[in-house]
Amino acid sequence: MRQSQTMPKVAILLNRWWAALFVLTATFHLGCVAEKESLHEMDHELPPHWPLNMDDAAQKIQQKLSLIETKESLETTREELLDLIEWSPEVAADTDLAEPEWIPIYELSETLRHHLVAKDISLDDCRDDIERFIVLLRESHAKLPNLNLNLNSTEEVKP
Amino acid sequence: MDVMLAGGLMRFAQGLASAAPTMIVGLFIAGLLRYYLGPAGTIRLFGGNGLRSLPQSWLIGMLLPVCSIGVIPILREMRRMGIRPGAITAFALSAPLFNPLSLLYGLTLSRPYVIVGFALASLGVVTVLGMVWDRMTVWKPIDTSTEPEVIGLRRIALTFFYMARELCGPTGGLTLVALSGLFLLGSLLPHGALQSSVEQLDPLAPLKMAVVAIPIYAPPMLTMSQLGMMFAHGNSPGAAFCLLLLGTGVNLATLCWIAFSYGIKPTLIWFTVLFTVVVGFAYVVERPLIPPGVEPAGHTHAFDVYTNPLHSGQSVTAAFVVSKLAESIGLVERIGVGVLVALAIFGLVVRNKMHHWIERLQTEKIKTSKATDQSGWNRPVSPRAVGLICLAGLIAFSVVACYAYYPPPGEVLEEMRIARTEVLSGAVSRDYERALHWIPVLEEWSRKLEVGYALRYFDLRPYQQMQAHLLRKKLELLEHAIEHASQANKQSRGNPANKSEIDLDQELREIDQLRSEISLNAKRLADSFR
Repeated sequence: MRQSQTMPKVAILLNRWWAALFVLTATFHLGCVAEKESLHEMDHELPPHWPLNMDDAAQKIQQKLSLIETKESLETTREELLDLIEWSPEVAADTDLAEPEWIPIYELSETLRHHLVAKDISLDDCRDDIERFIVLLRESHAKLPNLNLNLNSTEEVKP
Repeated sequence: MDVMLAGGLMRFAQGLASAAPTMIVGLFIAGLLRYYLGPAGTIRLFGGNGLRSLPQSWLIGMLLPVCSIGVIPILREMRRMGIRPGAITAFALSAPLFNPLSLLYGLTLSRPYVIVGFALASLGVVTVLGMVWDRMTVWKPIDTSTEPEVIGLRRIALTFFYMARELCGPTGGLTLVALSGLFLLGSLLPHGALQSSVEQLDPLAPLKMAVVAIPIYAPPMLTMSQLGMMFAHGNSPGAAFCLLLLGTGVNLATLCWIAFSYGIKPTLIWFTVLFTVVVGFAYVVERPLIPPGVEPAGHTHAFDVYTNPLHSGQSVTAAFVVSKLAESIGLVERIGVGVLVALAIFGLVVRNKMHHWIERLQTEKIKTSKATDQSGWNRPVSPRAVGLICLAGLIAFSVVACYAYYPPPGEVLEEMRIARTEVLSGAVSRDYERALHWIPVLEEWSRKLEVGYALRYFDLRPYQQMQAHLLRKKLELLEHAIEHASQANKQSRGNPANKSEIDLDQELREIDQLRSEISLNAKRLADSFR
């Protein structure tokens, strides 16, 4: 008698367990969780506006700034300008630039990034600082003993 | 051997190994609470019976080095001693999230405010949840006048017996339940299946992570490294928060224990509130916590450890599984497993053969003259004082462990030099297995370099952080290039007539370029940290 009462409970529990297992499996397999077939699926794609070096960063920032001036820009131009300002310290640190010379680039980049993200100051009011940033990048680039190619270049690496 | 079964077993064994050290600590703390602090001392330690108990339990949880499995024996003791249910859940959730080692590690992963923000958010979650839980459960304060009576060596012996008995009893059983989640995920999820499930601004990313995190068991240090990888790859910050709270804070055993102790219905309500609060908060922080300047990589390797470690179709033997496990389990974990096995064997003996002897040890009065002699150094010390000193010692030990785990920069740079040499020589000699083995080692040392420096000089300059970040970025690219080259080699060996989809020459050129970049970075990194 006792056994007959407990058996259905066990059966219900087992059914629930299998149901839960089924739901879990279905959730994972219906989603994007299949085994990776190609390693190219997890490549780190570099954005097309990633700068090759500090000089290139300065040039690209200047271009974006000109586009914004001519009022032909979309929101994406502004976003790309912000990207370039954010990436510049990383590009500069990946060269032989000494730490004392890298710090002004980093500090100005952080200040500009803060204002551009917060939008507490208009882009026109930041213009002088951005121009100063461009000059700083160009001067720093000119100081480099070896103008070696940046690893993160979108250019094809020569053998 | 079946790939699903072998993968599940490997994840189970790896989980057991990583839980072993903190489980021993958890058993030890539970023994201290039982035989040294006693009910009155324990209630006072966790903030009494008022509202203060919630933040105080959270704080104690942050300081003790336990994981979500190691916390189980402590929870059992807290309940036995009549601690408020809200405080118990606050401790259960917060103790596995952070400890001094993982908090320091976490500070190097992203902008520090993110980790501090996560810690404060966890305080908010446990406070809300604790208040809800206190309302839902019936609780009466117990009589705390019955203090433990045994002292001296007998008490030490009883603490040891208690640890062994717990391991072979409910705590051991709940540990198996917790690890079954890893077995389940390791069996069901194909290799690399979660690599693209938690992308930045994916509206479903926090929810997906929350669902996957429930059966996960993750020790705090693993979670921290996973958070680091997620931020480095520009994945969803909301999903990272879900992983922290639901993956590290809770596992299947925590839920089972709460359900056994307080009933299934209240547990379901409690868990629904927890899930809703965590997922809701994850969506709130999703945009503000996106790290600036990080380009989303479109994938993450952070969750590879929860999927099957083996590829489908791979031939698997028992010897292969054992060799792979031996590679992935470190020295500390091996020692931990050894101690646990010895303790478990002793626990079996204690449970079956020494039951009466332990009872006598607990109840028999001390008759020797030595024990009652109070001259010289032999002074009576209250159990509470001894217990508190043990807990303070444990926290002090955590601080010392921080300095040992994160050595001075000079030592770390030397270790990095060795690891870098292995990576670069593996890459140049096309010994890719060697390079792939050493890349994570070098990454790990770069994190330790930052924490070790910050611990000793109370400062970490942006330039130092940037150089360490650049090294890790290049290592990640090198890892991918090597994986691509290995795959191309295998494809061309398998069927030379078919041209591989990967351009091997381009991958080899990239490997050489990265090798040179990593060498250049080595000098800059060393100069900045000296």
